Amino acid sequence: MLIEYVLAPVEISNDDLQKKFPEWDIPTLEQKVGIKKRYKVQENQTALDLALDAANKLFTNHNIEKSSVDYVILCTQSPEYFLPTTACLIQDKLGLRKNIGAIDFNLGCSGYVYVLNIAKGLLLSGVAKNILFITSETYSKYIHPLDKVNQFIFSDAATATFITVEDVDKILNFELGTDGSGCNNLIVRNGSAKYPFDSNAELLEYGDKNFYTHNNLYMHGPEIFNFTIEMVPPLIKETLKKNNETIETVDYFIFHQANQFMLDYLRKKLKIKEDKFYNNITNFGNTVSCTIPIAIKESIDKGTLKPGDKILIAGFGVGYSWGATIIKL
Amino acid sequence: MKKEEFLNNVAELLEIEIKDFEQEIKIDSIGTMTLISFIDENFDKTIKMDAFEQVKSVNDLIKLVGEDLFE
Repeated sequence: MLIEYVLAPVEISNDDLQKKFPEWDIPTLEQKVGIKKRYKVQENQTALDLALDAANKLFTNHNIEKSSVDYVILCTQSPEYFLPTTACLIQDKLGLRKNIGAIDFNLGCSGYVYVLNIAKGLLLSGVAKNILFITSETYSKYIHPLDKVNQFIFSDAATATFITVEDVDKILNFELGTDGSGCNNLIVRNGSAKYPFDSNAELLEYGDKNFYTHNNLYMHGPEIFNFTIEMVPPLIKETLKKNNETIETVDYFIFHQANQFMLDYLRKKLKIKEDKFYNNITNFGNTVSCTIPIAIKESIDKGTLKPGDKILIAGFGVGYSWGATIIKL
Repeated sequence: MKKEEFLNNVAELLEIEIKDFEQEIKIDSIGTMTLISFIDENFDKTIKMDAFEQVKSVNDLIKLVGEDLFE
């Protein structure tokens, strides 16, 4: 399994945000949430552009023949159009073969676990031998300019992973979950089929002077926190059980990088040792479906992970949707 | 944990001065997350964020944790 990632080109530091919102206590937020910088796309740039950059980086750095790709999967909530499918555009723009499958699917923070799940199914069923799967997200396009918290947290990025039929045995058993009753707690309400984009949408306030309209991303932080602390510990326990592993026998844990404080809470709750737990949102921000593959790639590059290691990965968030599995490097 | 020790911990975590159990305290969302983590670690009890909306003092926090869990 080979991974590359790209971050969006516009870097925004905490100093930049402090200048924009001088009354805001950013140092405290930085200390708790752990983010020092995040990235956003330029106005004319989309998740498709980031996806292409990540895929090209993957092909170049690992000498992958484009003609070997026989399936493309894109996980995004920032599609180029309502239709056609963005993965079809990726096939064309990357110059991939035409006799291949290409699909999009719409998930956020749990997306990387689900894409692995789908890829494993395609490889096991013999439908594909070499899959290119991409996660690409540009939440910055949905965030209101006066929504301080979401500007602080979210970051735009894309990742590309190449997985072949030889990797199937390295993806172990999954535990998945869904609870659509939480849909209103992390949502972009307007602009799709149910509610059209409203150019006169009312300006709404939440938390400490954060503003948004129903055309924008809205996140009910406390409810998302409740969902996470309630759901993640049993998710990890079930995943370990399904794979006949324990906290001690797994080499490393990579959870969706939502915020440093929450991750530290989950780590302590699950009694995972600090040196076996990835917690580094500092230089990336919350890149939604990209946080897990970025963390895997970072950990490999830094030498934290080595061939043969068993890594438990867990994604959770918008939907609500969650999932976890164990992969072997 | 003794209630006095709990009060001192809450004051330290919220970075405010708390003189007595009935003093009105203001807890923002970061403070709430900090207290949830502290309570879970020390009392093995998971409390949801919305439960803190009714908390106005350390006494309210003690009731939320459960009087019987204190020495």
